[in-house]
Amino acid sequence: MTAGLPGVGIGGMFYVLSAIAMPFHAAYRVVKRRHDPGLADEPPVQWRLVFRQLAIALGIVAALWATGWALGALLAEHPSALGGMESTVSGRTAPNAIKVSALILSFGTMCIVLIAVQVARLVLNSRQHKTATVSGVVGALMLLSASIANGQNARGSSPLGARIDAAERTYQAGDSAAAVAAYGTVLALDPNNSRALFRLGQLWRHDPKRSLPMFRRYTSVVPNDAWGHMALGDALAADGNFSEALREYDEARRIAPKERDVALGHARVMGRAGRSGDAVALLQKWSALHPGDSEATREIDVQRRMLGSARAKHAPAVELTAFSGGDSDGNRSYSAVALISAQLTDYARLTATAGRKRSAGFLDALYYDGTVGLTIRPVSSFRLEAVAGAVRTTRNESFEYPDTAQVVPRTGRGKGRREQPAPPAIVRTDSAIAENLAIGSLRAVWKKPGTAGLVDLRASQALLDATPVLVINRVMRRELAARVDVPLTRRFRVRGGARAGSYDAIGESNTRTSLLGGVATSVTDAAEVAAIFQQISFDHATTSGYFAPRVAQLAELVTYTEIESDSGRLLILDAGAGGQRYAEFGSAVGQWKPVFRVMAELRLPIRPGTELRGALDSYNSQIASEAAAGTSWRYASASLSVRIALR
Amino acid sequence: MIVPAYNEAESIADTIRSLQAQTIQPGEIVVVDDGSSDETGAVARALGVTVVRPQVGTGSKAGAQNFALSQVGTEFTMAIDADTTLAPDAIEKLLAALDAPGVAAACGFVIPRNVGTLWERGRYIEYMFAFSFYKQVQDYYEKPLIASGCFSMYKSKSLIAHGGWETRTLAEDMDLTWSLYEAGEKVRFVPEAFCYPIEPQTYQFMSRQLKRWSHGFVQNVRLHWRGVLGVPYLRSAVAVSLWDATLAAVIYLLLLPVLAIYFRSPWMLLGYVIDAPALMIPVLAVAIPRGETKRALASMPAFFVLRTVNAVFFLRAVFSELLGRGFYTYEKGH
Repeated sequence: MTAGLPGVGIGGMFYVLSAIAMPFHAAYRVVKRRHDPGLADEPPVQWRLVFRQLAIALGIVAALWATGWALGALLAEHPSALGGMESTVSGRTAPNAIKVSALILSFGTMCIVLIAVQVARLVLNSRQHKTATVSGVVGALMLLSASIANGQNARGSSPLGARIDAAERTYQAGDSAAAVAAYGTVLALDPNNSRALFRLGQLWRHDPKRSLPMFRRYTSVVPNDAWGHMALGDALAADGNFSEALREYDEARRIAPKERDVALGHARVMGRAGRSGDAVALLQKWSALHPGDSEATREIDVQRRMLGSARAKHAPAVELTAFSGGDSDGNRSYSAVALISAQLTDYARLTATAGRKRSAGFLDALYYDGTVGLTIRPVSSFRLEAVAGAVRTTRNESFEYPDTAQVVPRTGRGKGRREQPAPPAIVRTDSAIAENLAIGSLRAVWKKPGTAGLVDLRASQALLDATPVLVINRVMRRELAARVDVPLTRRFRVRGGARAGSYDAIGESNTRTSLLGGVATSVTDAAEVAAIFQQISFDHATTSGYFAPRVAQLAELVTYTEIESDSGRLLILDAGAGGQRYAEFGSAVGQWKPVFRVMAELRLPIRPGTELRGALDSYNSQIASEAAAGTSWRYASASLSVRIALR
Repeated sequence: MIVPAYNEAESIADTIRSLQAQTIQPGEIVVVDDGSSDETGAVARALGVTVVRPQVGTGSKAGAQNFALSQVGTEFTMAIDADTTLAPDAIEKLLAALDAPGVAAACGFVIPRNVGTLWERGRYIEYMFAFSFYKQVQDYYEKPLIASGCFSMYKSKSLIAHGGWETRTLAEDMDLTWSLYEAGEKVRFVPEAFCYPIEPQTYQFMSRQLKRWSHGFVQNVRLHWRGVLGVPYLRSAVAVSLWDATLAAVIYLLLLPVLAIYFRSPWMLLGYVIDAPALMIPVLAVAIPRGETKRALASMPAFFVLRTVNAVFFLRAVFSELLGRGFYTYEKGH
């Protein structure tokens, strides 16, 4: 059998580079053999194989180059074959159609994959080493203490028994790290020790990958312990595997049908699995047999609320949003958007939006957009969102456009807060006509339940609409973005992100790259503090209306907090403060200047599925993270929306 | 010599005859008739080999091979598919490779026996490319990705120590190969040892094989990733294969049509075959000495069809396995 797709992707490049490296590797082996008598028995280097594979690899490279050259020559002769790309090549000398940038991108991708493998290996090794070291040291200490206790404690006649007692004392004292090491030592001596298996499962309850094998082994060693199946069920539920979790609870109830904790735990897992109706039925049955059980009664209320929320969440809904924003350059944005959504299957939801938007300032741009989106959540840890649509720009008949290309005074209506002049923007007035532009996005989000690990990948195409100049110049951003949160401990995580995209306007194209890195910590379950550094760079300056510095750097301390009341009111606060500096093309990097931003959103439930939402957003910075209109910029916006479940 | 067989009456005679014509004769040829409803057992018996038949069909190639493994008493064990024939010196070449210390398994060069239909032609180019370039590079770095299940030889002691062929994945050959590496043993690829299997002739047969292979690969990555991370070169080879089977497949299937529509230029679709000249280099490096230049050139278009179908199957397998909808039903296909 074969794996992968021969000739496609980075696999081909990997083997070509492997083959090119063979002569060097072979020479190294020869030299090493000469200097190390211990390698004398190693088989001799097969030079014929080395040069044969090298020749094939060089032949592949040459064939690729020749193909690109031939295609380039062909396209130079027949530029119409390129359709919409015609203008970019006509009139030029025939270029090689296989771009160096594409090869560099492939090479970079391959390097990232190979580096990721090495990082994964090092992380795995360090974990194993750490566990082994800690287990060994603590195990030795336990052995020593057990030996000492041998003469003092009757149970000391059994070294295993002494270690179990010591481990349990450590566990009861709340020293989790020492307890893990102590029970690890017990398990090394007695692989089927049920106490050690259960305790390690409990101690690793926040890490399902480690706790699950422990509980699984425990239930195989002690199959008739209902608490073992409950613990396994809870760990599986924490890992998002609800179907198996419910099977474990079924088993627990079979073993201990009259046990209250089993019934309540079963109902809670049912609720988390989206089966609140079944949970309510189970709890009602339990309450009928045990009328005085107040906890069961409370749990019925909880499950009923979850049931109402789930039904409302899955019901078709309409959402209407009104938005208004403005910046210190005198640009104003207004929009009205209607959204309708409906659940297609248990894990797929369809949405459609229609909006009317206006961006006004020195010029005036009116446009409409419509999208259709599909959100698929096949498992609780993964979400795929696909949106496709179009923007229709119109000529605003009530506004008198200039007849020729205009240089826009970037101070807009005279707010003029900036400390140095910004580059001018040129309005391509011939573009102020009706036009349809495709927009869309594809996003994949993976977030492991119960952990802070996150992978967020997104590809998008959108019209920049912060100012009317951007709309009239048709500045389209096509971007690939990735964000990764890697948990280091239960509370701390490393955050990294990268974005790369093109900014294509009429008559001009630019590229923007952005890298982000930092650390984040959870202060509580609903509050996070992060220190983030971000660097943005553009390929060249622009006259299309967005601010394109050579480089911009942002160092920021940010907080994100969600406060939810018992009645379901939710307040979200996202604020940041830090410093920002930038360099325009041909200039040195400027001074660090303060930057502040705050976003607040309030969600007020009116009835299940229906809620009112209000949001405020404000910036005060030299430049904005996206497409700022100038070099000193203030921005504020407010939006109000209502979501109504239709049944 | 273990030959697992299920309804192979039409092909097993050729396989047995090619084994009997080897320059080094096998100690015993054992055909495992795994519940065949045709004359597989009778055909094999008529050619004078040992035929064993489990009381109940094992349901997988690995199961059938394990059934016979319990009776093996020789130093080496070879597994060969019942639709595969060997070059006369194939066993001799593999045995030479197993002489080296630490080598637990050896496999040979696979070339489709029949090259007629679209699918056979696609597979012909795929094998010529992979076995003349990828596999030889892998072997130089002492990590062939797979000792192919259709034709591989093992030291019986190592094979038995690993419990034979596991049935936990649909690619028992990959599972065993990676398990051997994780245990510090070596696997060799011997390009001079040729075997000739009958490849799927129709889409129906090919789709079953691709489904099994793609799921088997993903299952093995899930099963072995920790162990593979500890094996130099193999970890990189597996990582790039996984990348190509997932994200590269998405790009391959979607990017070019999207660009063609966006730029309104069907010429963009030429991107699907832009690597054809490069692919031909390793293919011709084998085809020319074998006198198969015309066959190779004529088969090239079929390869691109197979590669596209292959991409779809790999993506489906990755998503199915990631979503916990694993596929463990063994369906016949070499």
